[in-house]
Amino acid sequence: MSASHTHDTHAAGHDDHGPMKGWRRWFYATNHKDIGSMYLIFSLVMFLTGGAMAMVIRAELLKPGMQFVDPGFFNSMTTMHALIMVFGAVMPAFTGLANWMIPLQVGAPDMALPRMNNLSFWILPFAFSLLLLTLLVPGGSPAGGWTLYPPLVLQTGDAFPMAIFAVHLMGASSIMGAINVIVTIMNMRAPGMTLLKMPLFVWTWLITAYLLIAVMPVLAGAVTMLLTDHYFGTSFFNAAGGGDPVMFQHIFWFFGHPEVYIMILPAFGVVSEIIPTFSRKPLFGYDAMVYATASIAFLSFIVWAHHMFTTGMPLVGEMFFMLSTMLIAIPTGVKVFNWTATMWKGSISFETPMLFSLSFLFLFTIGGFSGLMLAIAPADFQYHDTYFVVAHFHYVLVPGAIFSLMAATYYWLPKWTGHMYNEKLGKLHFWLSTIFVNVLFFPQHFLGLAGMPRRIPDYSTQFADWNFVSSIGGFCFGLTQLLFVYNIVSCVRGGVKASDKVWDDATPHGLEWTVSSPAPYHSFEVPPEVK
Amino acid sequence: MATTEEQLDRQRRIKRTTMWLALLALAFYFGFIYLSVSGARG
Repeated sequence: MSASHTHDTHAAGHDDHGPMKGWRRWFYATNHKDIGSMYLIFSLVMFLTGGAMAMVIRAELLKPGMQFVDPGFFNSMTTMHALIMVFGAVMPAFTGLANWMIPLQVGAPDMALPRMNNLSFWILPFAFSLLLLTLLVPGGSPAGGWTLYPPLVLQTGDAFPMAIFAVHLMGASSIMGAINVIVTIMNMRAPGMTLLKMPLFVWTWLITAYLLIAVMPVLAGAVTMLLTDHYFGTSFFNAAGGGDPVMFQHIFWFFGHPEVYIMILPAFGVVSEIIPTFSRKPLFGYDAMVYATASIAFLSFIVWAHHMFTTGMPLVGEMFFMLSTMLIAIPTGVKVFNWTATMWKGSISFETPMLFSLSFLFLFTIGGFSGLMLAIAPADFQYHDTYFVVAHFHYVLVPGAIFSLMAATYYWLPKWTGHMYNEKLGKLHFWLSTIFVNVLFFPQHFLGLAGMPRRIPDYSTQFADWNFVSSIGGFCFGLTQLLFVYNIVSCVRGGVKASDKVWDDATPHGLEWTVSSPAPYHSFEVPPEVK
Repeated sequence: MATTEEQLDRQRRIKRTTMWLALLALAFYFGFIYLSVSGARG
């Protein structure tokens, strides 16, 4: 795919204008780059906030016995850490990337619905302020886990309606963002850019957006029913009134499992952009990658009850959910094979984005394998609600989703800012992150297999050694992320000028490399012709 | 440069796609609440 001509200047002869001055530029923003930047900054702030909560958790678990916080606050920390990381850090970060990159990659001047885009973003600071304010109200913030299972969650104090409203707001923001992504991709592509010419990042986001539209309303419905059970006397999930608390789990996980793929499919897209660039080869099996992504998305709707094997279900149900879950390994295996095949006999170089992508490839696969172990119903009866599960999903989300976000940041930051980041510092950040993420999470497999339950502030002394190692890994991993923040801030403020192609020695493909660095405020006002 | 007619057509397509997607989201929201109501034993 190539553009017939480059678009490195503002389109002349149009009502060309720069950004508004001061706070108005951000508050009234409709430009996809401004909104993308706000999403990315917001998610970084949430990443640090959720990370600080993780430090509280790991500090408490450093030694057996109660150290710093009371058990209720500990439970609030696990709950808030998860809600903030899932809805405040990972999802908005990918939406920020989508805002920045989808118009640039499909040759569109902006997102299709720029004012709704503004609303989607500005809902988030209100939603998370509301959620964080629950820490200050009587009864404390929600402490029943991010899954919000009744009847436990109904014991939340005054924070309950605040948390429910915050979840509704996050859902509304995500749905609007998803609609915007689909409408943009389906209607704003440059002439000649057929669906099967779109970059993989765009494809993975298109499929993710459909997942979002299908499942975020389901979460909203579930929490609405919690609210009516609590305040309006309904009995959706109250057995005494004819309801069923397990039904909440079914509804929640019908949302929750696709949610996992909402957080990982765009990561697949990022890695599918970076590995070919630094392998100096086209992506191996582009079509297969698209079909594999769609297959994973489809399968994500029919596996939800593997989260609930221990609630008790008919044997045929266990068999169905076990086997359908294992099926996901096939399209995921196709992806891992194709990334590896892309590198095969490639002229590989190891810049920071490539290092993070390679780390993603290895460590996400470890998370995938432990997922397969958990999918085996009889084995899951042993692993369920242990630290093995905590290790599994953190391998998927931290060296999986978050490493891909770091790879994407290093990869596109020069295009956004016009400056190269500090490569030495980037590599140091990579090595320390990769070492400490394993020190942090790998021992949790051992803890889980030895029987340590999740969501407990104190534990038996036999778990002391690996918890100590895990906490040290956690503190070091947390501190390492300050290097990331420093590198980004330095790059935004200045540095060596980036060329338009940025990765001149490698082979970056895509329309985003045909615009100047930094990308002009208005790009592709005249659509490029894609051959 | 796209002609005015092409731009208008694109605007129409954008509105149509947005409307269908919003309806889809609402259908999932109310659909799941309806399923829960109809599935309740009480």
